[in-house]
Amino acid sequence: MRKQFIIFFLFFLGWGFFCAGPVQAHRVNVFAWVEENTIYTTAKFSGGKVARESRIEVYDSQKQLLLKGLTDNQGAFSFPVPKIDNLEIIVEAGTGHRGSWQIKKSELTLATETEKTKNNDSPASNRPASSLKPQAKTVTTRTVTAATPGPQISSEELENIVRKVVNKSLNEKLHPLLLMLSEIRNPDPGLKDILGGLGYIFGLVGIVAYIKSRKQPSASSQNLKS
Amino acid sequence: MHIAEGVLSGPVIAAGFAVTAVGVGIGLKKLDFEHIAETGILAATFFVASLVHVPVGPSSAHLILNGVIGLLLGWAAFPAIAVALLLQAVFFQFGGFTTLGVNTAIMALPAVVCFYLFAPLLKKPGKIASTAAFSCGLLAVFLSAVLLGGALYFSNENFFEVATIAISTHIPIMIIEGFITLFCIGFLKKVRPEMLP
Repeated sequence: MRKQFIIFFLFFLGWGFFCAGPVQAHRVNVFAWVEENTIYTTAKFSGGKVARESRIEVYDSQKQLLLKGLTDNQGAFSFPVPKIDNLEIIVEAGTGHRGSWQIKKSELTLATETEKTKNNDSPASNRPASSLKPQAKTVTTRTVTAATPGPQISSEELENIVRKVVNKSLNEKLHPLLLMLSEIRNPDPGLKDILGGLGYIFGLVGIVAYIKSRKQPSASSQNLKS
Repeated sequence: MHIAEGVLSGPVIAAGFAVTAVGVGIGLKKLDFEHIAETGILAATFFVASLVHVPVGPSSAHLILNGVIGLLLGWAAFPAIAVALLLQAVFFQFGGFTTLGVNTAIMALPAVVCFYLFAPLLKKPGKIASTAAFSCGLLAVFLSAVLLGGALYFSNENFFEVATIAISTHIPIMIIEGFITLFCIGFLKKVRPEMLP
């Protein structure tokens, strides 16, 4: 009889382990990052199911609501940087599900600084065609006569152009990486967590049993006496 | 069914802790030496059962098993569920520490209610006992969904529709839990009838 009960319990435990992997957990995570002048957010239930049409709210360090919106079918929501401040992004996925993410001020200043350098750069690229033409010429001539110096592109301009290109390709490369990072930052409950919790429960059972056994007139000691 | 940190208002959190404190107190007082191991095993079952999820719509619902826990433990369901929820908050980040009281009340109160409603019926023969077991599993989840809606409603008026959402997303869970309770009680009746109330 007792054996059957234990088998039943183990079956249940095994079921829990089995299902712990690919299922959705009862927790919603939001992850946000800054790219150029835009903040991207993605909301997911831990386990990978995206939180669709969930409310996203953005607060500044004074807890003032800056903006709000709804996530799309991929659980994503993006918006232009509303303010250079420590921002808190909150997702509410209904029935008590809520998650938050902080974006530090330094992260935003860094991102907007690169944006500024780009803005400085843009008038250069919008220069009248006449000033650009000689550059193009020198480039072509340079390929022919490598010894001719190309004085028209200053090192500063070149740096800006390179920075722009590098930023663009970096952003493209980093995007999936950041998404991956969001999943790592919010790990699902694993075997360790489950076993740890069960250990605590059985430990507590032992403690309660010990306390109750001291309160009760000990049956075993009475047996010993008789 | 787990309410996260920062969703509930102060009075609701306080009320939740008050109800849970009373429930855990009564539960521990009524818990006799013979039932300690059983309480622990059911707490462990509850702890693991929350990982068994059924995806429903934009949200996802998980097994709660408060019906069967209430039926077998009575008031001791309170300490069992409170401990399991605390450990879920620590290990899984389900729910939260400030919302522990409310979450325990949401899941343990229906368990106790179902114990008083259905435990006497289990001794009846055949179909009545089976129907009682099924209804117990179903009703416990239903009542939890109603309490969840209530707790959120008192915290934020926008949440009024939440009860309907909570109940509708838990309909599959209600049916599944009805069958699980039916199966558990039927099994225990055959193998360990002394475990039944």
